[in-house]
Amino acid sequence: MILGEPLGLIALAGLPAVLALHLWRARHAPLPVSALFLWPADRRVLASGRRRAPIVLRPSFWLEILAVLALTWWLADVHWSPRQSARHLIIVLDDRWRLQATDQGRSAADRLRVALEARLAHLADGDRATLIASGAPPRLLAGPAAEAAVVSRALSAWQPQAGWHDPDAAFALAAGLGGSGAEILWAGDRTPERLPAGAGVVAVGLPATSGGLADAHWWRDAQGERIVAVRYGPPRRLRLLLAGVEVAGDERSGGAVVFAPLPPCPEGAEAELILDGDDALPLDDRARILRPIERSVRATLDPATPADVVRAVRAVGIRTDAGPAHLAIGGSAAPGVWSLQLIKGPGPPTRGPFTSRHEHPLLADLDWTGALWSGGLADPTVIPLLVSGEHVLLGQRPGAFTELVLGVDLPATDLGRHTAWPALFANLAAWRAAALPGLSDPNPRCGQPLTATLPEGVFEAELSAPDGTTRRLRADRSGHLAISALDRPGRWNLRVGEAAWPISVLPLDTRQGDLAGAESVAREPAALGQAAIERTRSPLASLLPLVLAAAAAFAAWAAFRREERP
Amino acid sequence: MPAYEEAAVTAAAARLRLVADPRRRRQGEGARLGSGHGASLEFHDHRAYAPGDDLRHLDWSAYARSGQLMIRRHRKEVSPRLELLLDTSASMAIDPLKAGLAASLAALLATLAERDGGRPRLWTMGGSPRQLAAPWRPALRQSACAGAAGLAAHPGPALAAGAERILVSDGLCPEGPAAVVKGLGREAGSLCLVQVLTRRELDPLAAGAVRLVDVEGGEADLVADAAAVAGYKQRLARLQAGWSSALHGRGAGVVTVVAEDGFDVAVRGLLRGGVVVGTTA
Repeated sequence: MILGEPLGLIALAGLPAVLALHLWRARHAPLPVSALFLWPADRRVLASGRRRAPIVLRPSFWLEILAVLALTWWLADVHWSPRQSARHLIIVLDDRWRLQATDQGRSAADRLRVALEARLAHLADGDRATLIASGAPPRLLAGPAAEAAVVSRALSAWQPQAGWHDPDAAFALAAGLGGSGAEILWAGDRTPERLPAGAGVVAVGLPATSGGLADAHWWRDAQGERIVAVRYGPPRRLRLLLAGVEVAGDERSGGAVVFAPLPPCPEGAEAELILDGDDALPLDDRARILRPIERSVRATLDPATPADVVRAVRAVGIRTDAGPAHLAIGGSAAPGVWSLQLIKGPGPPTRGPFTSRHEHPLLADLDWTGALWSGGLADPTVIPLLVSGEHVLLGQRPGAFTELVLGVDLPATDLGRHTAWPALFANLAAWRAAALPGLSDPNPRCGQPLTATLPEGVFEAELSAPDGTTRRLRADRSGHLAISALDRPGRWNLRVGEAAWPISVLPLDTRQGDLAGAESVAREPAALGQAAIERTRSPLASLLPLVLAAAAAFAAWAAFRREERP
Repeated sequence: MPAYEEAAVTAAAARLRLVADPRRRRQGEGARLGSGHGASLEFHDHRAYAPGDDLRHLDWSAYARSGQLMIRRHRKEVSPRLELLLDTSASMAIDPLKAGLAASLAALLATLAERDGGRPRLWTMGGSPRQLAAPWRPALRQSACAGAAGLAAHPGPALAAGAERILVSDGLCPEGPAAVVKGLGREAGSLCLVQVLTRRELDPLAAGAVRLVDVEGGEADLVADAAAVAGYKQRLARLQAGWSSALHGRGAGVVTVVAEDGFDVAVRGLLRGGVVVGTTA
């Protein structure tokens, strides 16, 4: 006899309780009579309180005992078959899309299904299996400890489509679910680099030479619009299609290809890159990329802006043409407009040392060594970003708008010739551009994290995956949103308020395209014996003792009522 | 009180009549011979003529034999007065058969009294005595068994002197038969008991440990073994003897019938006990 829940034996405490109840129960069955006075008094029993007497074995007693035993059966999960030592096979599927590689029309995933179905068919009736798809994080497709039919159904519905990831997390999950004694079986197109001790392998890969796209981008900045594609593998012709019409092609053997200039494209346009020819892994031979939202920074320049500033602004690609400005140089800040003011302060000429907040995006990677700076501010209300001595060279005014202050007397410095000077404006342009609403890249590769800047006042967005699942994301106080786990190629959508920002996650990864290392291996898991799997009770086994306990309790109550009826 | 067996009662009444006891009949003219002298055709005795006697009653034959004027006296014809006291205490309802048989026997006796030209008076003796108003049949059907006093109810019913009284009861009175007879038998022409008992009352089972619940109140835990049953039977026998003793010389005595035996067997018991006789007899 096996106890699933030994603590359930506590219910046996009901037995002494029932015994005690019946030992002290008023055990005289009521008998109506019409002449009590005729019965001899010397045979009567004192009726002053209850006292212990031999148990009268009435139906209510047996039914109460039965109810307690049935309840114990249910609570303790008593069973006789060794169901907790059944074989437990945990299959870890390689969920990377490279298993879509085909050979003679059959993909590696199809061959894997056939091999795994054969193994599932060999499981005995009481055995259990678990199906895990590798990934970051891994997914439980069936189980834990499900019947073979359930696992088989999940296996039929499985399609490998995850980006590159390490299968270790899936092995850790398998070990956690299996405990001791479970058989772990890796199923992929090759033996992984790290395999848990004792794990078996079913690999159905066939080595092949494959090629495809390694990367694809659509750039849209001050230098104009261009599409850049990177190829790998054997030489194949690359074509660019805009709105379904081929607009360019390239016959070169490999490397990066820049398609520029592009014909005028409307907002929301899509391009498709296609590598011609047959390939074992056709998934990365095509890439649909989206035209990014324009995020170039436009600035207005005060007429009195020093020439060194004007040169730097133009050098880093900040647009100064007509149109809504994002930055006012020499002007004041307004909603949606940052300002940079140049103010001559009392600071004396100095060559440092300069103290900088390097983590600030405006000062990232800037080295002011050797710069002659003059005109630093002595304004205590300015939040210092770059200081020399007691004077603030670069700071930010507190307030609702982003208002930057440059304390400088340019004619008295050589900043215009220092390498950090244009870099400062490049940082300013990048920082401002990053703060404009939109995605950092609408065409990320699978698994690549993204950032998005939400419009002012919006702090929440909804991300929907190609399979329709959605999740809500919250931005930080600056409206920046980090998007990770784009682990499936295809069309995603970020819904921001009423607007939808499409994201095309590209199945591009040279690591997955490398099919040369594919192999066919069949290695059985180490014979670890029977697994201590936790198997759920069947509905009948679960309900039968409970129903029996309830029926016995009800019958005991009815019997008690009948026994006590005068 | 369960409905009595009216059809059976009617059928039995057609072939029975109440036993007359002329010594104790004192009431008016009727269809039955009284214990005194009267104007019936049945000879009673002679007495010496006294002036003023009705000359039609002179027995000329006696005068011829003895030379003395003798007045021929005849038996008086009387109408019997029957008073039926039906015990309707809770103990009579311990078994529906018992209550039904008691009601049927009471109805039979009352019907026979009516047949004889009498006007029976029925009393139910439950918590307190209640005389059933005429017509007595529907009232008998509607009477219910309740209360614990039974035949020992105090105050007792207002009974007529000289009436024939029949008690229909189980006779299980803790007060004892003598006390009941003393109360109900005062100035009675005759008094008898038709005792209706169940088989279990006559012969209880040795049921082991039981709680005896008296339907008229009180309970006691008891081990009903063979010894207890024997003790019960002894006490019941003493009670029966007490009834016989108390009713001795006052009429038919005690007639015990068993509820489970049914009405016909009970009627045969009444015949054997001399409470009724067959019309052909």
